[in-house]
Amino acid sequence: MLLICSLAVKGAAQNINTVKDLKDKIAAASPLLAMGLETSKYKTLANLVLNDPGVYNEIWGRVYNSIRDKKDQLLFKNLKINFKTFQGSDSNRTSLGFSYKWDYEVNKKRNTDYTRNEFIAKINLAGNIAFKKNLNPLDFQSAKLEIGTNGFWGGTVNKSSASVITELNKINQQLAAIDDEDELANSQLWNELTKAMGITNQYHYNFSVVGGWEGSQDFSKSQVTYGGQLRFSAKSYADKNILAQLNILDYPFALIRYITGTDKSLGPYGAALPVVTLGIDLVKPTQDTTRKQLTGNDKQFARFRFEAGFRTLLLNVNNVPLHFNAAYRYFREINAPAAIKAASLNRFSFFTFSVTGADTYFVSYSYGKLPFDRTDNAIYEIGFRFNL
Amino acid sequence: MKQHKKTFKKAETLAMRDLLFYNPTLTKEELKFEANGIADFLNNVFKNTYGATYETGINKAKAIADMVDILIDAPKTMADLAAKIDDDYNF
Repeated sequence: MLLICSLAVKGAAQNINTVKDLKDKIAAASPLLAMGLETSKYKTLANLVLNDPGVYNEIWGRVYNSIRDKKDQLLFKNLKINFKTFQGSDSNRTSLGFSYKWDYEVNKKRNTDYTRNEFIAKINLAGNIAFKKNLNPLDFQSAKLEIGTNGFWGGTVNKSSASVITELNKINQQLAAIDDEDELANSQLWNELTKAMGITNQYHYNFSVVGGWEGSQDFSKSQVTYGGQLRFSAKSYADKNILAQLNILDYPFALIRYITGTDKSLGPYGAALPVVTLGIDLVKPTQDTTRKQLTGNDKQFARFRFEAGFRTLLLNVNNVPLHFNAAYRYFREINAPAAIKAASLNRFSFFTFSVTGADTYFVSYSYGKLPFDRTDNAIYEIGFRFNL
Repeated sequence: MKQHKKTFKKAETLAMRDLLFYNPTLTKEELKFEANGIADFLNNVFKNTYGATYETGINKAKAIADMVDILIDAPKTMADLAAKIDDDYNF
């Protein structure tokens, strides 16, 4: 469809592609007007009109609005075309052209009592076309297809009757009236509340694959892109749960909480189970000068990654909760060139942890290194801080 | 949801960064993923346990997105989250 549009616009421009053509057409329509115009003024006027992107945007806007207002134009609805003037990066010469963007999303949702998931497919096309291609400083087009699913198993609660809701509201009011943290934590009302709610464990996942093409406007340069990832998290919000017992990362912290009196019973938190991500990405190392020096090129490469994040309560000090936060990230280039391996740039691992509380970093420590392209993609800080 | 140990009254001023899920070592995408899990569970509790309905013009996607926006905003408080929930649900 985009191709047809671009050809139509280009065709329209070529139909009146010389001043003489335009002059002849106006002369045929209105001889008096043509006679009244001097050739030089006429040429200037024609050039101004034909090279003004505003004229084409106006025409396109009218065409687009008339089509969009019709029913069943879902495919057409998200098409954006903007005519503009391109200026060559090394000259003052200009060319008329346009940028385009089109996306379409299919989203199929499924909801049952226990599972909630959605299938998502996204198509995205974007690019810049200059009618004189050598004057296009934004010589880039891309087409992407993303397919993924996001969903949950469990994490559900019983559907309450009106009488149960009334009872639960009473329990909540009683809990809200408790002013002491220890008394609240040990209240038997929690057991009544969670039993009535019938909380099930929650399993949350996200899976997506992305494939695409990108290249120049005349297709002389092109490359494929791809990537995919699976992210998973499980949570147990109920007490004394088998899933919670599987949180072995929390065992040492459970002991600290018990010894310090933060928790009255010994047990790991099911709500503190880690979030885990596995992925494969195709990386384009455009800014990585070290890699370019080693390999002599900036060709894209495939990379595997494993990432995990974990946070739990360390202890309460004067009712101020101190949390332990950690993340581990591992990256490995697939089929790395010998020069990259020799320089130990094919594998990266990074571990960071911190202890935080009351908006303060008490301790933070990081070890390892992130790949070049990932250093600005995190909330975390690199380095060591100690603040007691 | 085991996110904090404060009393109901003191929890009003608790910031999102002080909740159990808010791991500052995560990437923004990971944090949003975790917040989405919390919001989905809260939505289930409001709808099923407490029989809440959505306010006019609000649906599940909007209600969850509104909660996620606040959950990932470190300085926002539980009172901010409660106010947004009150805007989106009819209890």
